[in-house]
Amino acid sequence: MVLIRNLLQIPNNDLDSAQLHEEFLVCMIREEMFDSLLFFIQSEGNFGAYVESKLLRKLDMVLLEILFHTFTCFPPEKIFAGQKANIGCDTFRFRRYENVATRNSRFQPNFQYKSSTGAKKIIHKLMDPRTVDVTSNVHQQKKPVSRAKAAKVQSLKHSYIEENVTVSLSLVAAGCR
Amino acid sequence: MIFDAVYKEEPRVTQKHKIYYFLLCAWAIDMTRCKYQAAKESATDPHVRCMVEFDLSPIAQLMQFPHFELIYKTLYQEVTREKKKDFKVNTFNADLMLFTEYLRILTDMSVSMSMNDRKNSNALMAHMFRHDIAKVLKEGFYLAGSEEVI
Repeated sequence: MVLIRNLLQIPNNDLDSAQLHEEFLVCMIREEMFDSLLFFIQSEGNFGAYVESKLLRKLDMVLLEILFHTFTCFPPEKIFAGQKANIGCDTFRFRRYENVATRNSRFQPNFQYKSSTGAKKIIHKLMDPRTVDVTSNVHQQKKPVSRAKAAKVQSLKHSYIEENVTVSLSLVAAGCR
Repeated sequence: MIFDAVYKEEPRVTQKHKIYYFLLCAWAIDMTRCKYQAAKESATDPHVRCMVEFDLSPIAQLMQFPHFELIYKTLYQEVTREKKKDFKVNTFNADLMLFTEYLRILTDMSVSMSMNDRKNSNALMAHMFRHDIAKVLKEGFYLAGSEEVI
């Protein structure tokens, strides 16, 4: 019992994803350790012999610590939160889910690409050939000018258009461009 | 047997065992309360929901009068220490958590639809509260203000 108490006192390592405490409890249930403890406690039979048992009197505080470390790591709110599902399985899963990353695995990883000129760019694939020239200025020189800006620069009245000449709307529109 | 050892403060019972005992009792009471709430929420029929009662059989020993005495005795003992450095803030905090759980379950029982639960809550409230409990708690909060609960 002292050995079980000492093993139950080992806390979980936060840095590691392994849930040592819960796995040890599952192992104890699988090996019927709790049944053995119950049998050991109740083996004295009638109440008078139970009280006089010196061994149990010596180990009652150890038993208290075992019960404390077994039960109090599971908050009752979480145990009864999923009433429809299996309570025992949910209890052991709760702590496991706390350390799992919430980011979906469908998303690609983010890498920061730094070119020779010092410019930085977030890329998602390391072997993508487009990442080689993403920061070069070659494409910016050939950047097309938008039509909206070009229309504002061009004048609406031309010197060769006379006032008496009637033109169709399509020609006016072409002249505006 | 464990209760007797804690109540009589036998030599093998340390402060750590006291704290463990109080926290375990608080957990058991909270468990009963959550079980009642889960049973109430799972009942879709309003008539069935009214019939849901507290199952106090697992914590029947905790609702006995000597247990209230133990809580009150521990609170009073920690507050009335001669020296301030002898005040054990962790024991006081664990005892206070158990006391809070008692209050929470009594509150839920008092607003329950069952007549038996309301009668039980009235009987327990009459046993639990004493006149100077507020004074004891006030003194304890004053002493625990500068301490840090581990």
